[in-house]
Parts: sequence; C-alpha cells; structure tokens
Amino acid sequence: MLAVGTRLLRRAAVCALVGVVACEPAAPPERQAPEPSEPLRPPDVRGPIPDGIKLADYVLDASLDAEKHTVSGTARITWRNSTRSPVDALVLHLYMNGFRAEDTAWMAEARGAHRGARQNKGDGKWGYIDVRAARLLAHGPTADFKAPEQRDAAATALTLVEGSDPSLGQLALPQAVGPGEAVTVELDFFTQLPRVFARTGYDGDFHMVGQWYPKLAVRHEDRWQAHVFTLHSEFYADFGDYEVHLDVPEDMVVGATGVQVEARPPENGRKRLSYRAEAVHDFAWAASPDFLEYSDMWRDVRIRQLVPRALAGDVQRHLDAQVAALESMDARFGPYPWSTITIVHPPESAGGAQGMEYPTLFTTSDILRLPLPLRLLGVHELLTGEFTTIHEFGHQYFQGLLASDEATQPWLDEGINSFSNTLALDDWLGADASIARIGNQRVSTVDMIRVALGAGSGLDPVDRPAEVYRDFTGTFGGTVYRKTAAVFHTLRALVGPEKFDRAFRIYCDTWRFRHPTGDDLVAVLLRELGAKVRISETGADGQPIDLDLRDYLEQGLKTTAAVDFKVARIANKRAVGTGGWHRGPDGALALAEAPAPEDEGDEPDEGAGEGFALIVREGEFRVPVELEFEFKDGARERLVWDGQARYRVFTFPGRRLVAVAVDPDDKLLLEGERLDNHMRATGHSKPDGISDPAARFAEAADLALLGGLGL
Amino acid sequence: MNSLRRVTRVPGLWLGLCALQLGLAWCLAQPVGAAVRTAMNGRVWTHPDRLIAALAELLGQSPAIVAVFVAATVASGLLGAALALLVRGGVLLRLHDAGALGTSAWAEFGRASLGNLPVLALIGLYGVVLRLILTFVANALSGSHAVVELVVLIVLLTFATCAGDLAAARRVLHGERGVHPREYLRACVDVARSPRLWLASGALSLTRWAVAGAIILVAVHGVGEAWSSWAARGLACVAMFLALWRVAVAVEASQPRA
Ligand SMILES: [Zn+2]
Repeated sequence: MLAVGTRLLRRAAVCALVGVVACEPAAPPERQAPEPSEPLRPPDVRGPIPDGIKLADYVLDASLDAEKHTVSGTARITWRNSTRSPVDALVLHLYMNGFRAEDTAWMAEARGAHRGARQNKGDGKWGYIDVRAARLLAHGPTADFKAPEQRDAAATALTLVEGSDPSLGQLALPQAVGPGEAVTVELDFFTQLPRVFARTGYDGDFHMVGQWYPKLAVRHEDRWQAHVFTLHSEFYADFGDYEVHLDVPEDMVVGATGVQVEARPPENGRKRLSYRAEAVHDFAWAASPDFLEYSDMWRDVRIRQLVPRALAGDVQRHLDAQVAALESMDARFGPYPWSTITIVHPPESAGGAQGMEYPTLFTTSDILRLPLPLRLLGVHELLTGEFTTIHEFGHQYFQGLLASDEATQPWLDEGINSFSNTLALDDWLGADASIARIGNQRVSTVDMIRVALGAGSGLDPVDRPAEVYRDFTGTFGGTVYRKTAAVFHTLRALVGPEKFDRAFRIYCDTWRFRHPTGDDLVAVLLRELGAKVRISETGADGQPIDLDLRDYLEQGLKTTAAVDFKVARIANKRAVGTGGWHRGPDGALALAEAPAPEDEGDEPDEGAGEGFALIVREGEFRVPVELEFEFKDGARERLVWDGQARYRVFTFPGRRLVAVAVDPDDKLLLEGERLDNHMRATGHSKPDGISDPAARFAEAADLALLGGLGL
Repeated sequence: MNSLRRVTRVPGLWLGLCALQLGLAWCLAQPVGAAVRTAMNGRVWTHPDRLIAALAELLGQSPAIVAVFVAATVASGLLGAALALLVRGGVLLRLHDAGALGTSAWAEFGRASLGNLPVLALIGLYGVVLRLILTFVANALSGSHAVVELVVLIVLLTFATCAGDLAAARRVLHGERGVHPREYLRACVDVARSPRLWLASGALSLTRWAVAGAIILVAVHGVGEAWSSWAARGLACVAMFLALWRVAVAVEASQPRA
C-alpha cells in the first residue's frame, strides 16, 4: 500500500512540478471474458440472416513469418453464381499489390503518403501478393468446400492473370459456372507485408494483416464489379463464412475477425489458432507479442481490446465509447448481429494502421496526451480516441452489415457512418454533444461537421465513385464524410427526428446483409417519408410549406449546391401617412393636412413605423428555412419561407424590427456559414456576441503579459 | 526593516501602478473589440459557449483581427517592459524611503525615474546578456531533457531577476557606479553567496509568474464573462504587489549592514 502510495505521490509531484509532461495513466490489470462459442449472436437477438446472401466462403490456412513479415498460405474459395447467366472466369482483388511499385494506381495517386503517414523509405517499403498456384477443386450444383480433400487428386490447374493494375487478377475457368452452380478454387499465395503506412503491414513485432489474401470481386448481373485499388476506394465483397487457420510464433497475441474455435498447444515455438466467422465479407487479423488483452461484455457481445502497454491506460475510455456506440446503434439501426468485436490499438509508431474497420474487428487511434497546462485550461477532447472508436465501430453497420459498394458510392459507407456517429455521440452525451472543450468553450458535433464543410466540399457532389476524388483537391473528407452527414442531419431536423429515424430504421432492416445502393436508400426514404414532407402549416404567405424530398436529395447528393442564407438588411421606416391631395367624394381634389410624421428619415426610433427585412438566398441550394423576427416590443414571431426565390422582403406594418434570425434552431447543418444568419437593426445596441468576449480576452492576455509590469 | 513593510507603507505607489497597468491593458484591448465589431457589421452570434466555431468563420473572413490581437499583445509586452524600466528608479526610491508625501513624493518619484533611466537601461541590458548565458547554461546542464531544461532555466532566470534588482538598488539608492559590468557581476556574486536573498526574491518571482498563469486560466475558463475580467484585474493587482515586494527584497538587501 505504502509503496504504491509513495509512487503515486511522487508521480503526482512530478506531474505538478513539471507541468509539461502528460501523466501517463497506468496500465490496469488485464481482464478476460470467455470466447463466444458462436460467431453470431443467438437468432432471437440478432434476427434472421436472409437466405442466399452467402455467396463467397473462404477457408484460409496461413502462416506468419514474423521476421520477414510475410504470410504464406492457401485460400480455398467457394463461390456461388447467383446471377442469371453463366460465368467463365473469376475476378479476384489482389489488394496488397497496390503497394507493389510506384506505378500502381494506388501509389501513383498517393505519392508516398496516406492520411498524413509517409511511406517508409528503406526496408519494407513495398508490399505485394503473389499467387503461386491455382487449382479448380470442385464445380457443380453443390460444391462442398468444407470437405474438398477427396477431390484434390482431380484438381485442375488454373492460371491467375494479373490485370493492367496488379491489384486485380483473373482466373479463367475450364467450364463456365452456370446460374445456381458453385465452384471451389484453391490458391497458394505469398504475401509480403509493407511497413505499415496505409491500414495494413508491420511495425517491429506488430502485424496488422488486412487485404492479405486473394479475394473475390462481386458478380453483378452482367459483369464483375471489381474496382482497381485506388487511394480512396475501400472494399466491396460478398458475404460468406470464413474458416481461418493461423500459424504464428508462440508469443504472439492475436486478434481476428470472428471467434477463436481452436488453439492447438504450441509446438516448436509456433502455435496454430483457428477462427470462424459467419455472414461477413472480409477477414483481418492483428498479431503482436506486446499486446495486453482487456475483454468485457456488453450484453452477450464480447468486447476485446488488444493494446500495447504504453496505451493501456486508455482502455476504459475506449470501452465507454464502444459501449455507447453499441447502445446507440443496436437500438437505432437494428441488432448488432455478431457475438464479438475486437478493438486493436496499433502502437504509436504504426499510426498508418489506426482507424480502419474490418468485420468484427477494427483499429482505433491513440487518445492525445494533453500536457498539464492544457488540462488546467480545461482542454478535453473526444476526437482522437473515443470518436475513432465510435466511427470505426459504426462501420460494422455501414458497410459491415449494410454492405454497399464502397468504391462506387463511398458516401454510403463513410458518409452515412459519419451521420450515425453524431447520433451515437448525442445519444451518449446528450443532444448537441461536445466533441472538444477548452475552458468554458466547446466544439459541438454540429460545429465539427460544419467547420469541415467549408474545406472544399463544394468541388465534387457527394455521389461520386471513390476514384474520382483526387488526393490533390483534398475534398474527399469534407464531401464524402462531412457533407453526407450534413445532408442527412439537415433532412432529419427538417422532417422531424422521429419520422426520419423510423424511415431510416426501415432502410437498415431491409438492407442488412445486403448491398444497398444510394438509390435504394433514397427509395426507402421517399416511400416512408413521402415525396412531399410537410414542414410547416404556416408559410410566409399563410400557405403550408412542403419539403420536396426528391429535389432535396438530388441537390444534396448529386450537385455541389451549398445552403447559404443571409439576413441582408433590416430597416424600420416611418408609417405611410394620410397627408396630401386626395379626391374627395365629390371628385374634387382636397388637401388634407395630416399631422407631420413624428420623426424624419429612414430609421425612426419611436411611434408607428414599418419593419423591413431582406433575406437573401446566397447559396444555390433551395430549401425551406425558418425565420425569427424580433420586435421592439419584445415580441418574437416565427415563420417558414420556402427558400425557392433568390430573396424575399418581409414587411411588418405598424411594427418595428430589432433583429432577424435565419434558421434560429440550427436545423440546417448543411449551411456552413452561420454568422450572417442573425442580424440586428442598425441603431440597436444589442451586443454582437463576439466583440465583447474578444476584448475581455485580449485584456486578460495583456494583463497576464504585463503581470506587474514586468518590473 | 521588513521588505513587506516597505511595500505596505506606500499603498499609493501600488495603487498608482495598478491603475497604470489596468488602464494600459484595457486600452490595448479596445482595438481588438473594435476590429471584431467592425467585422461583425451588425451580425449577431447567440451561442456564448460556441465561440470557437464563430471565430473559425469570422477569422476566415477577416484575418486582420488576428493581426490586431497579436499587435495588441506584443504592444502590451513591449509597453510593459518600457514602463517597468521607466518607473524603476522611482519605485526603488519610494520603497527605500517613504518619507515624502503628496505632490513632493510624486515629484521625487519622477526625478528618480527619469534621472536613473539611462543607467537602469544599461543594467537591464546586462540582465538580457546574463539571461542569454543562463539559457545556454540550462541547456548544457540538462542535456536533451526538455522538461529538466525548463525547470533549470526558470530557476536560473529568478537569479538574473534578483541580481538585476540588487544592482539597480545599489546604484539608485547608494550611488554606486553600477554602470560598469563589474558592479553588476558583484551583485551576481552577492546573490549567489546569499541563498536566502535568492530564495526570497525567486519565490516572489515564481509566484508572480504563477499569478500571470492564473490570469490566463481565468480568462480561458470565463471567456466573455464579467467575473473573469474582474478576477483577471484583481490577479493583475496581486502580481503588481508581488513585483513591488520582490524589488523591496532587493532594496532591503542593498542596505549597508549596521
Ligand atoms: Zn470510416
């Protein structure tokens, strides 16, 4: 007790005294939870798995050479042709070949950098996958991939031909696979992992093994949907069952997709671990002798964290975020179907592996170490750690479960996921949650998306294939992640959260374990919300205001139109008087000497008058918007403008305007520029809300610097 | 005489310098407020807890505000240093001898300030040189460990402050020819040989810096709030008191031994 107390005291003293180093939270003791026996949760919890969705089953048998950082093995793949026409060749992704040379599509776009991580210069610069042999094991209406040994003798040799970009390969079959037929092929592969800088690879003893085996593309009715691996394109594959055997050095702690079903006793310094995963579309694993393991349960789902010792003090914060994400998403988007989720914390030196999702396994990122002075300033942020965990877990739904084609429509993956992340944060921390704080100031989830909207999100529409986004424009994040999220948050706020959430849940329920497209999502929303959604019964002219949903989604997803409204001018003019020459009942002109107007000029302060407000739609995006008018007598009035015209002048006879606010409830998250949404009439001393705090802060900063005049 | 007593018997000096400091900071802050007000141009922001988002947008549109803020802050640093130098002679004299009262006290203060300005500037210059040397020393002492270096540097800087105070006090109060670097070095040696003096002066220096840090904390935790402004002003007066006390420690130490 005493020893601990003294150590703690010393630690605290050092932290307090030095004030510059962050206090490393100590590693808590490891904890284990039992390995789930089944890869899926019980049927009554997770619901049914639709028939016929499993089209690609894999048996992978692989061995890791931790010294050379290579994985060699065989992949036995059974594919079912669910289309209406015969198929005479299989197309395979050889993702690791994206890192094979400078001139691959991936490398040519990346030019040695990915999300800020630089490619290593010396050893381990390149990664590749070499398919050294291929055989046809079985072909027929019911190929049984699980017991293919007896057919080995009859195996027909096949040749895999790499495409013009080596990230794709084609395997011609001696005989076409007819509709409803299945085929089993076996490939011997050798994968050299690169030193990690983009998702996959090694760093010292740490191995993040993703995109490591030959993987089937998806057969659409008329063609293979097989994208060349490029910088922004992620992955797309059919669901299936995976049976994976890994032979690794004895001291490796391994985390993998699915559940571990067998661990053979170590022999000659190696051990063989077997995994099973069901109804997933990829398999990834991580291995390191330095991992500590922390397993916890959320209901019947095992949450397993693998963490280097230096980062182990953060496991509770990641666990809290993971539980919050499960609570929120399981309730909102349907039950999480798998029995496990593994969170891999790459070591600090392997930053390129951070923040990547695979079925039932993802890598998260380190929580930023804040030095003591910043903590004293009240700096607290969820962005570097918790947010990554929530985001990567969100991918278990979008696109782990709703397995859209990430290469063709990345917004269905990153964008819808970003939308779901904000909801999860709000569910966790309360509406309009804070993602970061400093002192008494905060950055809300809304601010986070909005600030990013400005950064080049106006160059490309949301609905674009990943390969169209050039790294050079820097628009991928702002458009695909943030603008998509803003489109759906804005829609949710406009039509009402409950209504939207119900419709969105139907989309999730309909498309689990399937491959929804953008059109599928739009179709569900149109069907469930209606083509015209009533926004308000009282429009600017007393008429009801509807949101044209198709038009809204068209503008939001297919165009670069931006939402931008502005209060351009507010003025109060004197009331129209009765003086002057008018014709009387007898038809003759008569002069009426009405009392002189009480005051002169355009901006009368007292007496009867008329308020004018000019609201301009500066952006091309047409969307209904709420306006709030504040009058001199303290009254406030709200009405909804349909936002279709370029501008509108609102007049209030007999009333004097003090201020006007556009979108007072902050519903239009799509609107990046907010400052011009609220304006006061000239001559009114209402504070602007920023200059006073700025002056106060500047004064305090000056006082701190002057601090006794530096005498 | 006790050094604290030297400060408390001249409350007018403390209050006068506080007023000068508060006035200066307030004046320097006005251009910042005005720049923001001009940029806002009638627009209103209504989320006092979400100023970061508002500033991100505003500064994007009007980056000149940053320049105004930086200029005001730099000016406050420079003016602070200049004023400190300007009043140093008078401060030393008042802390030494609070005899005169009223107008004559202020006249005396002015004379001492202006009369000693050149020589105090020179002593200040020696102080700058010493601080530079100490920075290298701190670097050499602590190798590559940044944190250790910072701690060593802070401790050594209190030494420079104490030596500067002592040299100035001797020159202004006792007519020593502090112009020569030898006199300054003698003050350094005396401080080094008198750990109690260094400790007293150093503790007051450190406390004053801590108070300056507290002003930043208060400013960040209470952005836009009146309590925070008043707390910052109050703390600035405390910092001023600590500065005077520290100088009084040197005045006390400069007294010829009985
Ligand atoms: Zn993502």
